Amino acid sequence: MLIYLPIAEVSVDALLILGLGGLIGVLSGLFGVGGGFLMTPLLMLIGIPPAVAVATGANQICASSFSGALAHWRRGTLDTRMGLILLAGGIAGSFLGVWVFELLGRLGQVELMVSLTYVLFLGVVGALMFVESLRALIRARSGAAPRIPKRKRTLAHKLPLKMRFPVSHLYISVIPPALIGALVGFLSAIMGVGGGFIMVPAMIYLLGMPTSVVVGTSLFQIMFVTGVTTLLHATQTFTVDMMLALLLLVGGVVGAQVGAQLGMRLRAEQLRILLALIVLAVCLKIALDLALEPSELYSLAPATGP
Amino acid sequence: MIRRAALLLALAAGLALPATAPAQAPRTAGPAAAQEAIPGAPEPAVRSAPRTAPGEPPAGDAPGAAAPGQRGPEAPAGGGQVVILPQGRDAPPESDDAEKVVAALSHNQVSITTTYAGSEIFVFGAVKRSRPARSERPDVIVTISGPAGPVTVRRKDRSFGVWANRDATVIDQAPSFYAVASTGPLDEILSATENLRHRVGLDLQVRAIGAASDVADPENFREAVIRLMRGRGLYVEAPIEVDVIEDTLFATHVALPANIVEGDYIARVFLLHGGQVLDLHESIVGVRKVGLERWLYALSREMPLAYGLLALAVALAAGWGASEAFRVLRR
Repeated sequence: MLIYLPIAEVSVDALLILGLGGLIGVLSGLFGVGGGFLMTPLLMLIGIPPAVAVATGANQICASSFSGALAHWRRGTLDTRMGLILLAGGIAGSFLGVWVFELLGRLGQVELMVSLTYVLFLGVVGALMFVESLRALIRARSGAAPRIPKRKRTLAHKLPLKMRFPVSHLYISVIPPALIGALVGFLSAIMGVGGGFIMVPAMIYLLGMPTSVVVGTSLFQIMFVTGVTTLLHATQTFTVDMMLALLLLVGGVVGAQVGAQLGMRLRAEQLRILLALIVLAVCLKIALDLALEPSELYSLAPATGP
Repeated sequence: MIRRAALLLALAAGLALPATAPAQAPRTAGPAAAQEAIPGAPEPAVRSAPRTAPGEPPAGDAPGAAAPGQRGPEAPAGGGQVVILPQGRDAPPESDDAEKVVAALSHNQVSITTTYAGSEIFVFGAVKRSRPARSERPDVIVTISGPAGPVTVRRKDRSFGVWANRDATVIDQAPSFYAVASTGPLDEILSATENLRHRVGLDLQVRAIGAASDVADPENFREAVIRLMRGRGLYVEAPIEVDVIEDTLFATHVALPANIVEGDYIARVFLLHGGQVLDLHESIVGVRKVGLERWLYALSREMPLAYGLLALAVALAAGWGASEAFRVLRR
């Protein structure tokens, strides 16, 4: 069933979009990532203009993460206080990101910037997560004593402005979470991603939050950041396609619920290793696209100046 | 095929006669009018009449003509759409080029609805003659062009081991859609001069004037536009897609793909002989978003904040709805 998208000005198969949304939704509920790092490239692949893919992706992720965050909130695995701190940084970051996005659009370097940031962040995060979760898995297999989460004293414990986070059982400075939030907000605006793939590991390894709380909190923050990003794109770059977003999110919200249910049956190490593999695969694909000679060197864009 | 044949028959019956009769009537008041209504009747008055420009006094070789005031201007005579080209005026009256084209489109309005998946426009018409047809069949070219505008073209280049956009230029004029259908290969039925004059060929539709200052090889960038647009199905060339029946009727169809943009599309029908354009018919196809598409697009441009908030509201409602629905399902 073909459907014409009013802003993207292309006609797409509605079922394909629904399926895509569903797939991303499952990932979202499962890992606490928005799934944007998969969605933006996939949307571009089916012929959606990159700018529309980024902006609309943010809108869809907002919906699916809201659905996911609600589920976690009911289960009590959402650290609202931590989420708000992350959010404050996130909103500042997303303003900066939309501004940079516009600037890069004028220079014609959006694609390069997006690809490079993807490779960098996905590569580093994916590799770290993979190694760590693999080690945890091996330890569990060999029958060694179950790993006791060590209360490592990170930088977050030394900085000033300390605050108590009862849900996460932490007493740390608010500066690292705010900075992480800002980075995620920035990435959200220029990559069309929620930034969960950065935030989840950052919360686990940098802040030392328990894995069970991380997913819900990440979704909570993503929901707000993508909401702000959607608004900014809608008013500044006019690239949010509501029709596309609606299709994606119908698939996405259902998928997110399925994912959240599925997540309760899998072990944390297994979850992490799965996410790490997906992240690394996407990273590799984008890196190859950058390194290999493309079959078409030229690209078209609406003229927005010389 | 059957559909097209039926269309052509209807055309022959309906279009040929009424279109000629009112066209000629004001020119020769009196009994001659009835005679002239028969297409192909060898009547000298008709043969020379189309050569007269609006406002000109009647030519001496038009015996049946009435007072100058009754000689209507040419444009209304052809239904307001036939354009008489300047070069035809000085042609000798004895030449056979007193042929005109009468053409119409299956629809002049294309509505982009939510389920729009492309549409097809039939372009059909007839060659209107004041004398018996020549032995060879007429050549017809049909073009449809979408709104044109400047386009930025970028080229990737390897730098520091990665492929990134480096050179860029603006192609001043490129149509968002262009389709050419004709009775034969363009270079055989259309002279180079006429092609230049009317910009019929796809190659002439994409123009790069200022590109030379940005890049060393603007031609490559211009060709890239054509190549990329062809790949998206937005530039279409079909050399032998116009069917001609009985040397008089012609029909073709132009498929508008699903990824077209809004705007006024111009359909042109050229009647040719020996590489020269005898007549040209132009009409406009309005491509418009309608209904929800129209509403969303207008809202996003005129009230972006409201649009953004609506997008968010829809997103949150869907998220909450799904969450609630699953809670109910689980019980």
